[in-house]
Amino acid sequence: MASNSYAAVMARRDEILERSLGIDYTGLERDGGRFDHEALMATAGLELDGIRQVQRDSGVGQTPLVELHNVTELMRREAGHGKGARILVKDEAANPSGSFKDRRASLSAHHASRAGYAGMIAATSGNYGAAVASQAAHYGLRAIVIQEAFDSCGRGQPEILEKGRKCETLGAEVIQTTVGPELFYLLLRVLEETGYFNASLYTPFSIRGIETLGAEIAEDTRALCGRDPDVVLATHAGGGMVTGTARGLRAVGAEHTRMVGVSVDLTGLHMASDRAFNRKSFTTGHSGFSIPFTSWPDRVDVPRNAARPLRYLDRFVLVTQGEVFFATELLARAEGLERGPAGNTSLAAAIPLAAELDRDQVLVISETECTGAGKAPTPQLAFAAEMGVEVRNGAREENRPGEVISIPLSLRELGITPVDLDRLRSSYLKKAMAAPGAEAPEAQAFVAEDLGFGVEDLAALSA
Amino acid sequence: MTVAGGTRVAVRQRLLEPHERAASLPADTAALPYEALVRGILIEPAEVGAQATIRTAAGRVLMGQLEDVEPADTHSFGRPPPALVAVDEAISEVLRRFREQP
Repeated sequence: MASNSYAAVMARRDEILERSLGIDYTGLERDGGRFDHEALMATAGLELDGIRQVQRDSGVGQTPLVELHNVTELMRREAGHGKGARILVKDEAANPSGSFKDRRASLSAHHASRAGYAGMIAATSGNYGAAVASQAAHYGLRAIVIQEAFDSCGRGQPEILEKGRKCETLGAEVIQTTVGPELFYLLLRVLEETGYFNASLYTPFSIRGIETLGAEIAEDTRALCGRDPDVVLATHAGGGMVTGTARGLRAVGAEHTRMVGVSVDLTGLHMASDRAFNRKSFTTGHSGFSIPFTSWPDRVDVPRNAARPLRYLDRFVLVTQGEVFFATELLARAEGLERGPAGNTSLAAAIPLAAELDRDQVLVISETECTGAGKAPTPQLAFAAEMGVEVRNGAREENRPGEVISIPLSLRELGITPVDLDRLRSSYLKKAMAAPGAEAPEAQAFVAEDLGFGVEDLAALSA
Repeated sequence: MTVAGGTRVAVRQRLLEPHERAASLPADTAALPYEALVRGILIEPAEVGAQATIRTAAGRVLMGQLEDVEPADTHSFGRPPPALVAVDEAISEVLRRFREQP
């Protein structure tokens, strides 16, 4: 029997991944550290219309686009003359398991079923687990969800516990671990043991499943507002929603829509720390993922990340935990939509960003997510307070991740912290140039494309 | 306490001892073992705290230390913290004025 030591399992990584994904990543590699991104995306085996069909068959997508009339009007009262874009939101909570993650799980489940896998596995503490469990149930597959759930005192964030409960209700086995990056090691072990499909968040199946979201946003906005969205806001972590949504927008001709990524600012909290683990109120969509993943997308659980956020991001901003809680209460009381809170990360940024735009412009928030026991603001904030985090009212600047959650009391206090995309591009470029053959023209062209601009800009960036 | 076979339980598995863990962990995490909890149906009678074998929802049979019997989901909606109550009051007041003077 093969050894299950950390080193031994990690040494078998490539073969386990190849068997559990059925994608020949090695064959897509090119000289100079490049790979063929479009060929990778094509391995999903379906184009937009086919993806729509698969999702329609499993009840995924076709969610309502809702105009937030009251939030828009409240924002306009604080905006300058002639300012204040219409704010709309795609109510992704209407998906079968309550979030846009059903789009990501749907093609994986469809593929796993057709390819003869008996089940599928995902390592996630987010809504994706329930999506995998739900889609597996639809296709008659078995499902295993591995969650990083508990600190060494056995305490689990209520949001994660609720997601675990939901996975079990949908028929999945849930493995709940203590804190640590060995989540990947355990994923490999269980993939090897079961022979199930690896429903990673970063495969072409997962990312292309989101293209329908971008396409629907463009089509629904045209129907409702008579124009393309001027700006789409997507909550940003591993780059999936930014990449998939932007590709979907482009696929239906919304060429001029600007894509803005939004993350919760958790600067300073170490993501692998047992102590810090329960001192954050957001398990994803935060800067602890989005900053490192944007500057180096391939630090994921598959050989190449199908999500390449720098190709598609026009702007990247951070909001505070307190602002997201405020936005969640505002959405409930002003619009009658109890959602989130994590899915309201983009809503928090939408209010100040819409105030910068003209009144005839349209801003679309790409998602809502379901809420419930454990997930709602009350249990999350009560838990934060139990963990020694001070929960108070105050300005956005007073938020200190892991120490203070400062919730504003009015809409005019909402703001954004810009992230310098060129700084992230420089960091990417430095790593990319370390690959043998990176100076070759083809390699330079790939890097420029992956950074979302022309080869001529590379020199300026390195300067 | 002996738990009857067929009972839904949670078992704890110790996957890696501290010295077996990944390199470059923060000091607090590196000092701890890497463990997992899994729920399933107990296959044969077992003592709480002893090794036990379960069948999971995915049909896997695995062994671990029997930790919890008929494990409950106890997370809730909790007690609203004052700072959140203040936000709700403030929003309600803005909306009241907004609706009076559209």
